Amino acid sequence: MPDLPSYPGTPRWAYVFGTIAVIVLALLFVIRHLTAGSLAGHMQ
Amino acid sequence: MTPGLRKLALTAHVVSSVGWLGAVAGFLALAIVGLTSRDAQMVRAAYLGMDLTGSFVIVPLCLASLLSGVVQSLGTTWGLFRHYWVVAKLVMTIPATLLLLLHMQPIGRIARVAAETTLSSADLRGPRIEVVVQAGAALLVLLAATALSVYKPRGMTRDGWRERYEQDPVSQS
Repeated sequence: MPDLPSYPGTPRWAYVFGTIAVIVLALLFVIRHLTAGSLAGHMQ
Repeated sequence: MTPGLRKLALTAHVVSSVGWLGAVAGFLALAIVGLTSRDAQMVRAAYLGMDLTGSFVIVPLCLASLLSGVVQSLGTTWGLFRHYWVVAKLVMTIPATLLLLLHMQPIGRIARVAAETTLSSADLRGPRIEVVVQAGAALLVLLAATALSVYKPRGMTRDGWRERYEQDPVSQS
């Protein structure tokens, strides 16, 4: 069986995609924390 | 998977995914109306409609899309972790599903408040803005997932690469 050819690596689009996904998740997390207090206050 | 079963799973996946996208677009429209309208009846109707749409359309379609997607990838040569575009879709869909399930409770609360009282533009301002932002983000995620499914950008994971080579070393060398 011939040797396994070298892995071509992760495509650039996957890195771009991952970076955007992390930024979006961080933004959603921040927005959630900024707006979380008002609903709790209203329900008391 | 037999060809007939594969087509059935693909049909279920496309229908649930596109239905999910369309339902989220409608949900976003209602969320914007609920946030911006000055008509109290309209605001009440928007939030009650969002609660019903979320519970009875979006959540079932979301779970169906995730489940049919996993079945589809495991039952075909695409695999779940062989191609980056499949992994990317999974990485987007699982957090989107968790966030959706997490947000159904606040939406239900806003709908209850809207049903019991007249919401002014200042009432529950934060959560109402958050619902618009989350729905907009969900729509973007679903559009990205649809684009990934159509374009299927190249790129195999390391495991996918090794597995493919081990199965057919001649054509890969």
